[in-house]
Amino acid sequence: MMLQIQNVSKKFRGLQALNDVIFSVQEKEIVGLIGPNGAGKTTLFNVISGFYQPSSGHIIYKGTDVTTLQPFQRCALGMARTFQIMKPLPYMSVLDNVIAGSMFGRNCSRNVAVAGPHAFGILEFTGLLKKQNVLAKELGTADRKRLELARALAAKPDLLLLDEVMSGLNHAETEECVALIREINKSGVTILLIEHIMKAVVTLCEKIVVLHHGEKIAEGSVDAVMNDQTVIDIYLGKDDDKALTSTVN
Amino acid sequence: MSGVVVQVVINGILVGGFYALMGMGLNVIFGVMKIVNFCQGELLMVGMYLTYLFTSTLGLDPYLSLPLVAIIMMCLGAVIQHGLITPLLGAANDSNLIFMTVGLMMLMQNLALVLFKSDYRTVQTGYSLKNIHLLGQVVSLPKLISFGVLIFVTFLLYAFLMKSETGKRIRATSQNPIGARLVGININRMYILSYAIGAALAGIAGTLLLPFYYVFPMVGATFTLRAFVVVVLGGLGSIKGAFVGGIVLGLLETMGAFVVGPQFKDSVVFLTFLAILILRQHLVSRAR
Amino acid sequence: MTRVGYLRTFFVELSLLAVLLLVPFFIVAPYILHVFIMLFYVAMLAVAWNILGGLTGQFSLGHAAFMAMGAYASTLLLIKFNVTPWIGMIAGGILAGVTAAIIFYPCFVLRGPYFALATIAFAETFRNLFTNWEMVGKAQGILLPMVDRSWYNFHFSGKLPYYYIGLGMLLVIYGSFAILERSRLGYGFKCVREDEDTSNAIGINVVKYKLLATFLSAAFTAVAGAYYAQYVRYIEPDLMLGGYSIEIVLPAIIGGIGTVGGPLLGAFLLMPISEYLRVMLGNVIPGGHLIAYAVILIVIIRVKPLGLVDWLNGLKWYRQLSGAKLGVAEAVKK
Repeated sequence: MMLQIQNVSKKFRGLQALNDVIFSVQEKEIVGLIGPNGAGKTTLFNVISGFYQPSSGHIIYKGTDVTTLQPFQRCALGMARTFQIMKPLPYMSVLDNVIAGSMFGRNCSRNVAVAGPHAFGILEFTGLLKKQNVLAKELGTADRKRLELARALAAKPDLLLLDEVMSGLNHAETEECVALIREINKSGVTILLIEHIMKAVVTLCEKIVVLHHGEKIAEGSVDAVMNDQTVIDIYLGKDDDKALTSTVN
Repeated sequence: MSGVVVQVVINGILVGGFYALMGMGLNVIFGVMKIVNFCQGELLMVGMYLTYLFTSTLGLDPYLSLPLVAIIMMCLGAVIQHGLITPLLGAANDSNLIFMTVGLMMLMQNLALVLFKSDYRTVQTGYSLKNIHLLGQVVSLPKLISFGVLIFVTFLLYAFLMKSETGKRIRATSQNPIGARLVGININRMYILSYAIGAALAGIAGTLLLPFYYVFPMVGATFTLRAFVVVVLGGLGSIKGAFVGGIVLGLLETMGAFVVGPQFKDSVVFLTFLAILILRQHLVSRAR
Repeated sequence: MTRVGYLRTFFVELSLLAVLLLVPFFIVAPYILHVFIMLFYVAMLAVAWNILGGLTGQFSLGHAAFMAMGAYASTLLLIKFNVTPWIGMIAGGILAGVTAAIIFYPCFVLRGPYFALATIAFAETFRNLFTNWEMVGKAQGILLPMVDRSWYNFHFSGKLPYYYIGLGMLLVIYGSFAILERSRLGYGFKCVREDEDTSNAIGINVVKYKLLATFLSAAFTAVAGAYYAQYVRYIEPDLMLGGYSIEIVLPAIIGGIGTVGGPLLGAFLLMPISEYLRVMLGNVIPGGHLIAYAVILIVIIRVKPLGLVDWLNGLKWYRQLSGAKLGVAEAVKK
């Protein structure tokens, strides 16, 4: 088992952001994490990746309890994430962003000469090769998303946490992104993704977990969750026909 | 023995009042614009020199020149804000603002050096040397008058910020600039006003300081740092906090001087400052 | 930068070095040599500061304290234990580096201006302590005794040895920075500067890198301080005054914060201006050159915050020559 969320709760002053969340992610799976805004999805990501400490509960990654580890330590173990509010390294070029990503993760290249080719490969894979010398802060949304993804990939992760990588993309870009994620998964990377774009979720994910007000209200196969009445009530909308194909933002 | 302690406490409160005023000025600027004004002390110096000029050339009593100084400082503040600072706001990196205000600090210090030389200057009034007996201790009259005016100014500031329309607008801008803009507040004007007020407060502190202190080009340096200590002690953006923080700092300084000796009082102040700064930040990040 | 760009830059640097090496053959006036020596000194300090400030994004406004630490350490070792300043320099560097790492460690949680304030507070505390410390001569400081002139004592007659030693030291510090900037360590520093959360997420131990940057920056600064002590032969606690810390920082900001050549450019620009003003205004207007500094700083921040290097990168001919890709906001033409 790649990742186990064991009874994770997170309380901020007065706000219970996460309440006893339990689920797991198998190796090489693609799991979707969905739910209304404010449900606690990004908070959960922050707990999984180490940016927040849970108030209670454990994160078990590849059989090891990583709950007290810092984010950079989890990166060294093969966990990589993207940020919903994108955080590129603004005054560094796209190429440098990805080189950085590949120098400090598990890949741990000694120097630029070694990290360079690896970075080039990833840039090509994510379609950013032409823009390698552009300063990250100059990029448009779609490219920024690609950069987030590229930088996370550069760390050669076993587990990739994607936080709304497709928000703000148009139809064609979304399809490209879906294909990209599938490729990544095929190469052996386990993926846990937060998404609002239902079409993408339904196409990609083998399993879906639904959060609402910090609690898990559903977990299961795509069919099971999509047709779950509670889920439809609070998130997907009452029109059953549209539930599977609409783009919910 | 206790007489000395009372003296120490009184002095602490009196000097603390000034730190409070400096802290309040810094808070207005910082609270609204989130910039760290490294030249706050130099604004105090400018106020002192202005008062000195009014007194020595026009024969004005320093306290009477207060309104004049305040107005001039407000204009100066407005010019600085609008010309140099507002254009830099909004950049992700606030290092530019730091260095801009540092540059202003250097400029003001050295202009003063050029214009006034490094001489120590002060003013003498009819009552400069008069003393009052308070709680069995001897206290210099100007110090007491200054403290009184200080309290008055604090009340004015508080009333202005809390009760007046403009004051509310300033507070709105400090809490949420985007929201403030949405409700029709001209935030650029609020920025200018805030800096003007901050500068005026520093200038006023200078006017009140001159009667029993002396002015020289570097006088601002210690006050800037202490103003920051006050802000850290009292909480960012809190006028009440700055007042209390200032008094506490004054007491800390005089008591520190009493305990470890006057030559080390700076170290006491700075080390306490560092301790609080660091502890507070650690507590904040622990909450995550 | 492109390969060609690097080569061209290297060529320019080499030419500059050649010029500097030959200067004393053409100019013998001791005063001019003194100006160059101070130029090398200021440049050393600016480059050293840039490691922590420009590369890692932690703005220290109290670096003069480390410079003084180096000065005092090497001086005391010489006077009390007859240790050659060459070793004293290294010792001072390590001492300053370790001290800096220890005292800055708790401050790393502080954001931008608060960190700067903390550094000022530390520098002032050190100055206060040194002013009252018997062993270092309190406020009077230490006047280096008239030891024999020798390489061991780092004491020479005439300015020439100091000139070449200073140039050599600058070369070492500058070269180290250039190598650092392109190394994995340098990348780590830059990432920390750009975004600490992202750095954390990609595997950088932010605290460790900040500590390393602090150590290196303070150590190099202290080494420069030791050089200063041996040249000027008088040191005092007021060397730690905030004003000096700011003077250290200015060349880096004006030249281009975080860049390799920026501090050098800034130093080469500011020193002559400062000296010229000092000569012109003399004792009539003390502080005149500082007014010039201040005005230049204000103008640069207002107009070109990323410094002269940024301005240069904005010039088409410069970009074409150096093939620079960074520093200017420009998209690659497809």
